[in-house]
Amino acid sequence: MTATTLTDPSAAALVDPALVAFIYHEARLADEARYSEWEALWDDSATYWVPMSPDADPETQVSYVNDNRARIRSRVAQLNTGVRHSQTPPSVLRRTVSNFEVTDVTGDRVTVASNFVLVEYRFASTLWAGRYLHTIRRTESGPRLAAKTVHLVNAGGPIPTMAFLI
Amino acid sequence: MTASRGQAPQVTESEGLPGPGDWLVAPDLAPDAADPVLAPVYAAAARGALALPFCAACSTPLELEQYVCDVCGASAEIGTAGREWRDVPLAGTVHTATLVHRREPGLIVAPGPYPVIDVELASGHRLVLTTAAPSGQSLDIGAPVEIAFRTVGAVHLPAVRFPPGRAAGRMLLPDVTEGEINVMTVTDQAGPPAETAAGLRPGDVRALVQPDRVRGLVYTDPQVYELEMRRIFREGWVFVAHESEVPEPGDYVTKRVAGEPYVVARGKDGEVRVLANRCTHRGNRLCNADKGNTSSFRCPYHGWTFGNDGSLSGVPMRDGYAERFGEVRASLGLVPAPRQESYGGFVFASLEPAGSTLAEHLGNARHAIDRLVALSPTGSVQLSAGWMKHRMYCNWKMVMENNVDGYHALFTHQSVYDAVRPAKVSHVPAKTETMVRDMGDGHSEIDYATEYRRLDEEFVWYGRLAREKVPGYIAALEEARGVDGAHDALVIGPPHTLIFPNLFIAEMNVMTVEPLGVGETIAYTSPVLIPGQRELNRRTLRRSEGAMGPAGFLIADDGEIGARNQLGLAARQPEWVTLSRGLETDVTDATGRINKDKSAETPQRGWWKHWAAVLEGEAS
Repeated sequence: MTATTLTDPSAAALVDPALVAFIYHEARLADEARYSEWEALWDDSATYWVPMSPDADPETQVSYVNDNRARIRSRVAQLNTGVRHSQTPPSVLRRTVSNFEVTDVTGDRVTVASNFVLVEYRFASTLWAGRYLHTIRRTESGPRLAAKTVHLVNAGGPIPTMAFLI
Repeated sequence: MTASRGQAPQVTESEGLPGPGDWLVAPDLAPDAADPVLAPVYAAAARGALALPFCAACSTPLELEQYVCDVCGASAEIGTAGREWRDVPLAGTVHTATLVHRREPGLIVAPGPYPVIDVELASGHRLVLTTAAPSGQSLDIGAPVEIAFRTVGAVHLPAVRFPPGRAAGRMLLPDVTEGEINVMTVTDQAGPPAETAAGLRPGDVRALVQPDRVRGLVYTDPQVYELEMRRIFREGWVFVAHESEVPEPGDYVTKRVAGEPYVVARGKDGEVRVLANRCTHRGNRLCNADKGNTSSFRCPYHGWTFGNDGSLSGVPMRDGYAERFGEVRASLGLVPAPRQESYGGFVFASLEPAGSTLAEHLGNARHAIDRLVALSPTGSVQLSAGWMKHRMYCNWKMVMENNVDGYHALFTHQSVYDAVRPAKVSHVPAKTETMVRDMGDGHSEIDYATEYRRLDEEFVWYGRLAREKVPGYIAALEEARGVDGAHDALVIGPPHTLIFPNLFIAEMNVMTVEPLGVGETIAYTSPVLIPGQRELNRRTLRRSEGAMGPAGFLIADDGEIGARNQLGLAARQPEWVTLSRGLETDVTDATGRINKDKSAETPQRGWWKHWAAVLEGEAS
């Protein structure tokens, strides 16, 4: 998890409110099953990754989710069919995101780490939690999501069905 | 694999051929077949009969070591005509019974408690016997029993057939926690057995399964579940791990077998062993990581240390054992699974010492493993990418049998075909030559080989990958199999085969299940990698993530449908789940029972038939 190493402890105070607002927005679209709007946040080249352990190598290890941009599109298209049974009806979701820290700035890209707690209600309530790494590219038309990594607290599993947007 | 448990050994088998070994004691403990008192008993047992002594003068049954008749006073000395040996009926009743807990590694091979039964024979004799097949359970006083035989070394001994016939009263339900049933509780329960509360009786499971339908409670009944855990997951062969999960000496992975913790470790000698993950001293779970590499396992409780071959290598402050230390060290190595065998790198185990070989268990299904490894230039596959662990809220059988259901895809997975791309081949049965097959012994598959050969196109099963994308793999496979052999392997692809009870080879993925309860299951999936083929493997990883696991485009929906199925089955009406689709069009050929309609429920019919036989103790 080298990307989460905080190089400047004061960075927490420096997180651009616009980036925080972007992350809140992304969280709310995911919570409210607004799939196409959520997809529109993504950059043209993107990675949505939910590994099974924090130090997993995606070249050799299988992940719960490891979507490139094309597969993000497919995932959203599947959710939009209305017959993605594991999200029909969509799970009721609400998450809080907090503890923002900038962990990397490279050119026009900023990586923001945060913690989240998410309650899913489907057959019963399920608690999800973990650490997000959002890599956001600043563009003239506003921020775009270039990468989202989700380190689940219970990544070691077993985990229940996770067909919603984590 | 239809050999009955507890059946008397075939007489032909006893002629000089050593048997498979007794379930209770080591062959060293075989009695002397020429023992002057008991030789006629052993000789009769060797021909499947029970011979016992009678007074020649008045036909009174004699004790084995009784030399004067109680009734007429005649002499009945050993080896004299006053003592007459006669074959007696193989029937009696239980006079009294107890369950013995005895652990003497090297002598007693049974891992759990075993019954000792004092039988009152129809001939009037009394004999104290154990059972012909292992059982962690005793019997009711007064229960009728039949006499069968066991073999220790080369000597045959009479024993009680277990389980006995239906008339024997309460029994069959597993003693999962081992040893809770003892003679006291058996005595308490003497009398007419309760109909359902006391458990399942022989024949009860058979009544749940008909050729074209099964009772819904096969998925929901806790007693059925308990019996499955014993008959299928403890006594039968189950898939445990793949050898490639522990490629180097010292590598280990932790697993559960029938709910018990096991560690699969490769010793410094290169051998892969399935060992109970429990310190032999006081029971601490020894190995607590999912996987790792170590030369030894050290118990954190009192510091006992075991080699990666299971041997006890270190005991701190050994003086405390004084002269017994050598004995302690020799006898307290980690306990191996009573049976362990591999095929194609797939490691199977059984927690029951006696039973079929793995080859017998796999039967026709070994061809599926052959078909998989044929795709590897090295002849072996690699399950090294980790296991997705997906908690599903449905019965374990639903997870497994759904994998060979060729009917559901168009509906359960409609969203994939709507959103992403058409299926690799049509799921409309009339448009394809895909078939389903009951391979026997509970194994079954959906076989696309005929359809793929008709298309004669490589990698249809792999998103129609162009071979130019993986030149290194193609070259290596052609080197290993020849141009034609490689082409054929790449055309027919990997199997889609369910190996009873817990292994599913899902093309380039492997799935296994761990039942957690009647309505809860962990499905484990791992992609099948080809050693050394990094480019192909990278693609396989991404394909696996797309299809499988909790967020997979396919399996997430199977999990959801499974959960809803479990919820639906809570309604007790109708009583039956219907599996009659294609019943009239099934045909039998050399490969099993097949149906050329992919949506036929032929695999399910095969699964349930075998399942019932296993639970009834008639197959393994």
